[in-house]
Amino acid sequence: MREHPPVRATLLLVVIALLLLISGAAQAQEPARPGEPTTHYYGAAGSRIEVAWKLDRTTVLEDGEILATLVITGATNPPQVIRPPLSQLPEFQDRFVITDGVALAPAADSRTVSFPYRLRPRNRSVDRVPTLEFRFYNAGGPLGSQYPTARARYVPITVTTAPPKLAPPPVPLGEPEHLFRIATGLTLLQRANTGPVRTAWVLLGVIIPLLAVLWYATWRQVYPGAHRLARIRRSRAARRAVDLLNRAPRSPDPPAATTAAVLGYLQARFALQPGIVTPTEVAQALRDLEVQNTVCEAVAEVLQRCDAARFAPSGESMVAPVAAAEALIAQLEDA
Amino acid sequence: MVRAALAILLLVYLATDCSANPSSDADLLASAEQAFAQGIALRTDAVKARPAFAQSAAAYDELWRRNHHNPELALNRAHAHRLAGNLPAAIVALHEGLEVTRWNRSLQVALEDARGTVAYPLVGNLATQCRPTHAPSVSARMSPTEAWFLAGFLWLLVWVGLTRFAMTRTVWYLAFVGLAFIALVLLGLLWRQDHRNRADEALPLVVVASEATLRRGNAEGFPARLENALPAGTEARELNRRGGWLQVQLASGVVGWLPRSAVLVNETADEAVG
Repeated sequence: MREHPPVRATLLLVVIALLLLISGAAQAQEPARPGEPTTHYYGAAGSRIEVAWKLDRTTVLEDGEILATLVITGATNPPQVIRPPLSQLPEFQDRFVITDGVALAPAADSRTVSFPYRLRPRNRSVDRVPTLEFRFYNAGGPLGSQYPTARARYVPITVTTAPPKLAPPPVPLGEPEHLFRIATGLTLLQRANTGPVRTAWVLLGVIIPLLAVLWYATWRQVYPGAHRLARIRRSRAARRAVDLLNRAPRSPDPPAATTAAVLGYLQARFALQPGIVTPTEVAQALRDLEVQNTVCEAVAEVLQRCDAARFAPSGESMVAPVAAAEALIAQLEDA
Repeated sequence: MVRAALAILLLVYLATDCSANPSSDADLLASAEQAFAQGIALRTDAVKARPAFAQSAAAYDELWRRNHHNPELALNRAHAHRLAGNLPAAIVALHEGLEVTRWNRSLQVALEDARGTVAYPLVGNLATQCRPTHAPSVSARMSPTEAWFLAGFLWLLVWVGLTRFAMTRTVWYLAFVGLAFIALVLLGLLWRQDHRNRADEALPLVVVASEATLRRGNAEGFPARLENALPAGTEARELNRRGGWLQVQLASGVVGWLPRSAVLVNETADEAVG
């Protein structure tokens, strides 16, 4: 059976790819040297390697940190030296909280490599940065002793008490000033007055009308004349006459105004003729209407007093005629 | 004879037991004032002063629970709570004081001041949705005693006018009577209208004690009714209760649910509902 050329080329490519992969894996895995230790070996090689701790301080506060640098000198392969994992070593892990620092890449011709660590003591009993064992590969060493051990000797440290934390500065109350003022005293134990009770409203509605009635009754008892006057006002003619009498003293001719007021009233009340104006004529006309004689004489007297005040040389005061006229009208209204 | 002696002894025991209350009202008041004074003395350090004011507020609250209801005590409670940093409790105290004397100007001003300090978010319109609106009311401006005096004065004017009219038959007195009577009727109508408006406040008041989200249902799983959480001090009216949750209504009419643990309930109104 004959194979097709494309199939053969594909198989060839697959074989080449497999060979490349196998060769790459072989290059990535360096073969372990015989007798290589499994602990404290970090890939360093050289004939005379020294390691030491370098600390930035030997006295640290309880919650402070030490910058500890592991310095490795004499290595022939600094780039291949790996950082010792202190956090996996019990003697370090028990004493410190460990944070790896940033290691600077060594120079190409340098034979020294450094690994910084930040170590925070777990308590005040920590008194040292412990010794670190560091095994390295010495190709020129006798067979069986090609992995000697160098040691970074312990460094005593002192952990001091942390200073007391300063309390934050007090912040004053920023509330408005009026909130700081309150009422004091036993008045706070009293119940608030919530207003008058229903009885007070009833009393208010009843007492005031009663007082008004009482006032009116008293007024009638004390001022009976005033009461009569009030009745007079009910008569339209009398009310008009009284109003005219009240205005008479302020008129240009008060006696004439008084006489006109009285005559106007009499004309309205007794239907007197307009031409009857003198006292005698008026009295006679009233007698003809069977008005009491005393009333007739009183009317005549009032009109005469008005005439006297009007024409007498001495001049009579107008107060008396006006009062007499008002009394006359009241008398006639009562009759 | 023996029974009588036993009865007397029992009465004496009961009397001494009642009078042996170690915390009399006067003592409690004194302790409240002392704690408040201590708080003032420590006011330069808020951390130390606030517990003293809280102690004072607790004593004032106890006095209020003992039925010493007056506006001065309510105002003291509110001041103590605010200085203790408990704004919601201060708002509740002011409301309880206004339930007793709703016309008290000091309490009204203090309530507005407290409402002004509620930390509503700057964005959104939550503040306008939550702040209670104020309709002018006669009962908030005039005490019943003042109303009694005013009504009495107008009633007196009516009857004085009537009496003077009866005496003099002067028509002007009738006009005087009419004016006084109209004023009296107006006062009565205002008071009646105000009474109707106050029926809206019959629902118990709740104040948000700690920031809480108003939800559409009575569980945390329900979506929020409003975008922002209600800040402490927000006032609402309680509509319903179910399973440790309260259905509340905000001033704008928005209805939602709040957990009972997140709100303070006006005790007086709460008792009335319960």
